[in-house]
Amino acid sequence: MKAILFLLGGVLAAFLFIYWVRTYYATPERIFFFTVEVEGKGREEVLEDLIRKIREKGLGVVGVIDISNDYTLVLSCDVPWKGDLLRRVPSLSSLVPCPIAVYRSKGKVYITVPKEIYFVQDHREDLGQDYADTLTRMYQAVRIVIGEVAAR
Amino acid sequence: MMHTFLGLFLMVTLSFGDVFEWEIETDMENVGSAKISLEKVLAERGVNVVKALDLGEDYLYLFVCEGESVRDIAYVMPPILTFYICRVYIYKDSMGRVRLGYVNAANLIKVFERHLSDRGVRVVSEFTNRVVTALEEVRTR
Repeated sequence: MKAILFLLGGVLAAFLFIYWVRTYYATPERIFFFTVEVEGKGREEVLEDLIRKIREKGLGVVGVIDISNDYTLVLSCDVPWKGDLLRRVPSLSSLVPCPIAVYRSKGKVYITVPKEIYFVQDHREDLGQDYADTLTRMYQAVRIVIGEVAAR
Repeated sequence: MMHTFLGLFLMVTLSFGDVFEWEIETDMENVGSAKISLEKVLAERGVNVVKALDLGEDYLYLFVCEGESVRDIAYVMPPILTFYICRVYIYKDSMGRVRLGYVNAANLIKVFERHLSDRGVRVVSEFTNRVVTALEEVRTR
């Protein structure tokens, strides 16, 4: 009897854990995006810092699009090899230019960018190792910039 | 780290490209004429091209997010606007055919709907449907 209760308890605990992970932890926002909250700065200041930093790092800005008073998208990563990359894998314009959003939500300011790892992994064969590595390094540079803007 | 691990697990079990990508072939002669047709059809559906980038090698990137419905999406799921739904691409493939690409909206919504409110699902669906129907209309023109 004890063994059955123990087993049922274990199964229940496992279901609760899976439910918790699916509902609160493994959200699409966390899986597919790199997002940081910026404290102590207004959204406009964050946006200016971000654009300046992107330019300083030589990543380039292709465009800045205001979607609302609370949401701006910065299209970054103006790289000379983008044409060749997109000829190999046309759908990768989801990554190049790099779409970086600066937005205010519930009174807090966030910066978010998609994670490149899933796209790169999925298209590694078509991309070739060099482009896969270059894309990964470029997104690492973008995340470093975002981290620096958030830390200042 | 855990998120990345879970994402990789998803990626291994599903092909990411197949899940989120959607492309159609057109009878257009070049990407320029496809862009003109697409802009017109999108505008008829209240979707304007905010920015068009020529990314070289017969490849155009159109950013199509603006207006009230997009502001609604920015409110319900802010990161999703960076993720496919604002981008339409037009390119000429190796066989010389002009193709249009967009997100596989139905699959995208399936992945996100558990974490979106009913209103969130509705606004994302309405917006992506408008873009998808515009692309389909351009194909048959």
